[in-house]
Amino acid sequence: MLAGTHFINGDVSCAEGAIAAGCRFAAGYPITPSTEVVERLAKRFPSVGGVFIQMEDELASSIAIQGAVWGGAKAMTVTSGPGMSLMMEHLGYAAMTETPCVFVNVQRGGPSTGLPTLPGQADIMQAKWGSHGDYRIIALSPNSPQEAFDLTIECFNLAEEYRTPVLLMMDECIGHMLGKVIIPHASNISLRTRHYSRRKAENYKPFEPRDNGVPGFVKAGDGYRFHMTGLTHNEEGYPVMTADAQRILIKRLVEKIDNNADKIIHVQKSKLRNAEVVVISYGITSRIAQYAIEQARKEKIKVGHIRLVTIWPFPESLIRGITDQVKAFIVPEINMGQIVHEVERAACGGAEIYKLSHAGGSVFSPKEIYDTIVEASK
Amino acid sequence: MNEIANPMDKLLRTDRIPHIWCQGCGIGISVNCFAHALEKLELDLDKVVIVSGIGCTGRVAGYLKLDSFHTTHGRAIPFATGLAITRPDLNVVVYSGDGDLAAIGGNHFIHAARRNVNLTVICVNNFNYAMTGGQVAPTTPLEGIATTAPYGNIERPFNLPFLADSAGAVYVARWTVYHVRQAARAMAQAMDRKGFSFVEILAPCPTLYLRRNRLGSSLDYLKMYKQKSRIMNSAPTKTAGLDNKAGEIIVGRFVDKEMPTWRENYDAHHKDRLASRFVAYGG
Amino acid sequence: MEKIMKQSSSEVTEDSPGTDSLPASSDKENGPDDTPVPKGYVFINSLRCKGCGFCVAFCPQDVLKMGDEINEKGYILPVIANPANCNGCNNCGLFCPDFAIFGIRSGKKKRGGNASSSRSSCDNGE
Repeated sequence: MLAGTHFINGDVSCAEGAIAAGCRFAAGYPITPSTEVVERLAKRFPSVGGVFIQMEDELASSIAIQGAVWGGAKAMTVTSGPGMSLMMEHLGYAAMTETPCVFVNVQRGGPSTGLPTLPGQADIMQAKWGSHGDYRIIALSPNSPQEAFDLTIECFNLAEEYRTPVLLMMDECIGHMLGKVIIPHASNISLRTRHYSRRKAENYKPFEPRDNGVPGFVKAGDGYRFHMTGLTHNEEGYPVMTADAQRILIKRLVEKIDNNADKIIHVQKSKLRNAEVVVISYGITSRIAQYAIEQARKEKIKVGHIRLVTIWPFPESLIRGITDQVKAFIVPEINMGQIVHEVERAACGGAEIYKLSHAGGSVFSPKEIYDTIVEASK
Repeated sequence: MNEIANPMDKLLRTDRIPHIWCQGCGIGISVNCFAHALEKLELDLDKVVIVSGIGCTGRVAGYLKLDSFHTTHGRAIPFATGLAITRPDLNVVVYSGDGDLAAIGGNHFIHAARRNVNLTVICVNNFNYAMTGGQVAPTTPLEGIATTAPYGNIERPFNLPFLADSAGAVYVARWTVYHVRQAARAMAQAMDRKGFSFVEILAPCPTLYLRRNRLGSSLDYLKMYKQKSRIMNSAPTKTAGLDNKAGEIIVGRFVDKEMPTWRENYDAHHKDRLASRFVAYGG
Repeated sequence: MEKIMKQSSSEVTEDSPGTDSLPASSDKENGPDDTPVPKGYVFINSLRCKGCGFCVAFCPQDVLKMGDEINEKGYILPVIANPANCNGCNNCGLFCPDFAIFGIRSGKKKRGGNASSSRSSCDNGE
């Protein structure tokens, strides 16, 4: 680990965060603007006991990491929009098999090939709903190179805690933004180690949940002779094709995250108490929103800010709790409206919602957000 | 009252037997061969891992009493790659079908062979996608009837040993499920070899492929294997296509060479470049 | 209820090569009262069997034939027609797709193992 102060970009910072978190396996495929993450890992891994393999495509990358996880590694893959679409099946597989791993999406303009080198924030709903079936994921969104480091570690910790895939939703701006990044000494970094089952092989059931709803993990080669499948399965891990088995399993997978949402959700709140208008933002947009808010506050407008650090689970109870108090929520995003729908859902008609859409390719100007704050506060 | 168990039962998840494969299914015979291969090798079974894809053959993972992974369609090999290159202490076997490995999984197949990832890949080739009802596959013979080629297949099938060989596999063999002893031996050899080892096992699919193509019962087909097979060890894989003019099924051990595995290469190369700064994975 | 049928046999052969080159039964050893002493035994697990007939077809000693009885799942079971012929070559066991039959040489009678579904009464022909 490179403890100290660095001037690096978000992508590189993310790679360093992974290394600091104990990630020693990565598989990936080149795709702008995420490629620098794996390039950094390819460079650094041989001297820290890691293995990086550039797989033949994102489909292979997204499952190679899971193979490594079941061998005992902490593993990560990195991509952008088009690659994330390819990885969706395996994101669902990781959720279904409760494989702890990290997927990084350095978002760019979409859809399809879109704008490879320019920012977008339009993969937010895909992050949650992109794979088929019912499951829950956790997604975090950094807004600085420092956060790219910090939140990557948080992603790994959450993955181990809940035995689930976790997404780091960067965007091209943060990914390519150079900034000061302080890498602490290893002793100052809090890491969550994987919970390996202490049961003996004959008593072990691969998908029997502990009290927290999360099964104890085992890795291949330890004599457990377990079976793991993406088919709907029972606690023994064997496929069971019944509605009952489905209900038991899916309910547990969903509740594993939903019921722990308050522990997982991480937001940054600013001046909410007397706010008349609240801006809800994330990623690069939050930096611009912050500036616009400061200008508005100089004009004595009572504007609060909720910055989503975790995007999923969405902090709906927080939003709902302040809906009666505020006149309006403003949701600027570099997409045609994604998180705004979550805000609408949480606010349930109790406040006005200002949707600030941006098709991608650049970022909002502070004025756009400022003008909306002024408008909303009238 | 005698308690006589099948000697192979210790390798099976007997709580899940009888298995789902049809009467006369060749996959069952191949698993039998595999069980015998494991017996013969006297491996520490805790260190043998089975990774399979989706399909009838993909269900093999659910019946063997080993650490077993039933992964997504076509992606058993990349999953196994992640496991094999980080855990060279494990003997990782990919056990899947022709559609899973050569169609949707084709890309991963050739790259893993090219990389010489330390895997054993056992491909049970029954000429169709059986689990989903018998659709055409990249291995279906020309003119073969399948549900998605109801008037006959118009595409040339793969010659899988040739594909594996050209992509760089270090061990390539083909046997039919009639050749129970040779198949078991080939599987044992493949597991014993370092690097990417490939064994194609031809198997009848009596319920679908044989029935639709009026090829008789499974037993008739095994007798056909006996009659039409020609053992040609070290035959050039290019000549091992199943569409050969003499109507022969070329079987045997075609390729058997030694080369460093991906992981061995990774370690040696980086040690050379980084000298004392190199830290091996797991070290 | 599943049945495991065990029968006796004749000559023991060494590690048998391919099916083609197995010797026909010969040189039966006889016991004190001149009846043939079994040299191999076949065990059939009727619950697992799917009646494919491979064991019958590939037995080089004509020990088995397809019978008249069907199991719970409706599959016709093989029967041990000529127990005296069995030499324990285990060709039946090697060809069985369902792990429903196996042959062993006498003196190597195995007990236990993962016998959850194959435990049952033995039709003792001795």
